[in-house]
Amino acid sequence: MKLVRVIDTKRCMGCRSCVAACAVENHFTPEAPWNVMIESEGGKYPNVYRTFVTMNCMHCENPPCKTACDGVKAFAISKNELGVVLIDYDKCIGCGYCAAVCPYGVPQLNQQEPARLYPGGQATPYEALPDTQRHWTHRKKAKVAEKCTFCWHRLEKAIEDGKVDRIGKDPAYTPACDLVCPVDARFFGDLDDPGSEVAKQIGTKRAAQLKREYGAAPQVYYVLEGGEK
Amino acid sequence: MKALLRPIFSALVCVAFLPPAMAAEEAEGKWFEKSPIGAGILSDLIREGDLSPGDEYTIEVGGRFHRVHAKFMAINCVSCHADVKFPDDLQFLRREEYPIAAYPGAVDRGICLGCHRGEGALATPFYAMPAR
Repeated sequence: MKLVRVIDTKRCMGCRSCVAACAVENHFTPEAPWNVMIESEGGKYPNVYRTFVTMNCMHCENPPCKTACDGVKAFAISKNELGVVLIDYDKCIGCGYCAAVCPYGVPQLNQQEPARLYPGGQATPYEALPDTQRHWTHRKKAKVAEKCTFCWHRLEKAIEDGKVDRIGKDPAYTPACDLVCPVDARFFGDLDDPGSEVAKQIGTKRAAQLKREYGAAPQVYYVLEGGEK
Repeated sequence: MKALLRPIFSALVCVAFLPPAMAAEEAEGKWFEKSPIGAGILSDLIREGDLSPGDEYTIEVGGRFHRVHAKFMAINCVSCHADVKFPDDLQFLRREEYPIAAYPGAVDRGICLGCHRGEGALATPFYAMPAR
């Protein structure tokens, strides 16, 4: 099983539903966003255009962040059986090497105190939850690196329920960001399954990985304007 | 045994013929400042633990990361920190959504790629760039 995400930038209209869904689902802090939207504009008036690219962790097959983390002997970053790259906050020493080496600028360090969502410091109901009631990937700690987990708490549930084959098909076992896209610009599933939507999207739309020159072999594919680049 | 004696003997000969000033610098650990040796040898020494740039693993200035690159490797700040900006056509509706520390990063990773790529790289290979 090779879990991949496909993002169709030709369909994306930059509504940020995926960003909002991730913020709600994973309660990312402002200084360590797990999903961001990059906008750019091009062309010359009157023929102008805008493009939108959402960036989250690429869950690389050869993750440079893990290499760096192992290099400093923190061993906080792992790549698990489903190919998901995760950070163990208890092992993270906050050195920032992962953030320094990631070609996609994904891992971000929390500050001294994980920032609150509401201005003024008032805790949201979710922020007020004690750590014991949160999934371990949602336990916010100061000065540790954070990033997208492919909604590991959902994938983990699929494993527990013995429904790994339903990942990407059943909403309960699919990352939150991939569920909410109103223009069907995001897909998640098993690339090894030729019948999966991601396999079809990659095959028919020539979706490509970004920055392949780094050899990280990311597991997020993008359908780009003008085709594969 | 013979294999062990040879490097020890070579080291003794080197130290014996070192000028006194140089020997003092050696003792203070400042020898590399006046007599820089190759970056490849330095990086090997650091990796093997024969030379320590400190144990404080952090990318903050003064930590090991910057000591390795700026001090031991003698890389000028601007070699990495030049041209660090977002493209002019990039727009951010909410700046905090994408901190400046992220893409394209405080340092363009393309600069890191020069040394940290693939097998046989001068530096620790972070990027599994396919062999050419």
